[in-house]
Amino acid sequence: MARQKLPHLIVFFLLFFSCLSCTKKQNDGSGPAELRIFTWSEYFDDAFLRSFGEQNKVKVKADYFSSNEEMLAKLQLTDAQNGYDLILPSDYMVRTLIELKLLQPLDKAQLPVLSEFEQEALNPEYDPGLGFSVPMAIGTTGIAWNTKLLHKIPADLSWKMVMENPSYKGKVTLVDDAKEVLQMALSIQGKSLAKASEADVKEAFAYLRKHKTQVKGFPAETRPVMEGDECGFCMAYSGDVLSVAKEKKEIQYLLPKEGATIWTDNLAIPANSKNSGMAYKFINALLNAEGAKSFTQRTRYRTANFKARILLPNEVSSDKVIYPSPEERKKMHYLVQRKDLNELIDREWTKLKSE
Amino acid sequence: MKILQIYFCLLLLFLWAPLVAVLFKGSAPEAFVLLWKNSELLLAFRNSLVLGAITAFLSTILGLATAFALPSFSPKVRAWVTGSLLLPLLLPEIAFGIAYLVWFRDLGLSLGWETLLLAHFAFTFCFVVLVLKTSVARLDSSLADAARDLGANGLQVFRHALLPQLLPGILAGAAMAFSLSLDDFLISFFVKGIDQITLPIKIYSMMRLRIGPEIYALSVVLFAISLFGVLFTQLWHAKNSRT
Repeated sequence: MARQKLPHLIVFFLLFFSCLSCTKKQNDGSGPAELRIFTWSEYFDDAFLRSFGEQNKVKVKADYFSSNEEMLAKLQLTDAQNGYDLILPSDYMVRTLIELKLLQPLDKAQLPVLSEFEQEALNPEYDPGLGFSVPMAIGTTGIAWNTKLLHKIPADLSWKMVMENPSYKGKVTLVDDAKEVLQMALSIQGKSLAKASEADVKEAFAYLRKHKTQVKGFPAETRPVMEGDECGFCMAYSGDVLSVAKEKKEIQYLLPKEGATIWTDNLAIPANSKNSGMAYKFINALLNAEGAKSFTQRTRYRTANFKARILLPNEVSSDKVIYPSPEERKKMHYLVQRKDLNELIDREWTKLKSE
Repeated sequence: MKILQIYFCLLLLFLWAPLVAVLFKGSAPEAFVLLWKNSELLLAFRNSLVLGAITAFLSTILGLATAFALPSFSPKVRAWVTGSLLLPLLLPEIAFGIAYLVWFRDLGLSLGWETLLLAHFAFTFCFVVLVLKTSVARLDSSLADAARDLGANGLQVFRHALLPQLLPGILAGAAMAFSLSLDDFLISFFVKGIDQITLPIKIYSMMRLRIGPEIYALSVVLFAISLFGVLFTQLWHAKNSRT
């Protein structure tokens, strides 16, 4: 009876299958040297990776993640055998990774490229003295303004104006990120997330609720909103704005009077890296004057290398979005982790969005 | 009746409008040139197609065997076994992915195509069994008995009396396994090694910097393949039900 044989068949298949997976040889680390990078896609140029690999006789392998949290999860769960040699956490994630002891302290002697870095980039709030990370791509969160929908923009545009002027009612979109929005509301009152008290946070959210009629929505992706002419003012990341503005001249980027948030994606070496020597070489090659120049040219994100700016063509090095003025930079802050306020922020944020 | 028809048409329009919009965006020839030149994206696409095909093949064969095995259990045991098959459907993908990653790590396996395939097999398998279970339950056993009376051996009974009845279920199960595998991001993310870049991994990780026109073009290709698949099965079904 065919039917009675089938259970045996299953057992056979399962055994066969598990044998197949067990024969997998263990990676003993011999063979050609590898540099395993864990990154967002599109950050690195194929040609750059290839030439770096050839020059240093190393196989450069890129693996991708799509959020900092995913990267953190995978990093925590993999051993050295399956791990990475170089990762790209954002600023706040660097802090978390340091606290979880997942990063190697950097050996500055192996990073000559740091001598070409701007002074202010050497001491960010999330990693003072760059003990564990090297800033790579630097961007800001500001206001994208659509000149087709709103012709006249006052010279001293502020978040206060955007949130309170009745003529902008329903024309504003904010990013779907509680901390960015909270920081914005706090900055209107001259405060910052780093120093806010519980009362400040509650007050800021009360302010946002009061002026919610100004807000059209909290899109998860701002690019399509800008492309579709759906907002007069969008709170947006500088890189997104630039990539849309390349084909849509009516999109302009502004930094409001109160200041803006600044963020960086950083290079860091995981504690269980098997080839940290090569990771150092990679950081130097990527961020030296020549490397940083082509990086900015391709991605439209600033690096901290001041020599690179001199090498860049004028239209890039004088772009206010990529290189904000020193006065503007003084008003920029990183978003910080406030573990003590997280729960409150989550609760207020849900309330704000659902009301 | 008329109202229901209008309602249905509007619903269809609502469901299909975004797809058609992407079609228009991706139909520009430049987008296809970009796609053609983007070797990394094409490699990811190929990886996903091959992975999906092998996953579908394994899940369907083993799923069919399991579907035949289920009725042979006592009702009580069967309820438990069938219930356990529902687990991956209910479990959040992230829990599934992490559980498998930890399991592979503790076994000392290095992550690669094998681990990726195993995990894909594991979560598609249950869907396939659930589809094939009903196909097997609906089998007309008199046909098999008749075939046996006429002297057919086990294989011939299966090939000529059972397989034709099962084929729609098999195809549906395989298509389901294939598309689940092609779609999956989270489970793949955790259980894959460094070299196994699948299409969803590639596309999601592009979000930070840019989703280019080549993605629209790729959507058109995927759309065409799906449309072709649907039309093919519909025509095939129509032809078979007529004869």
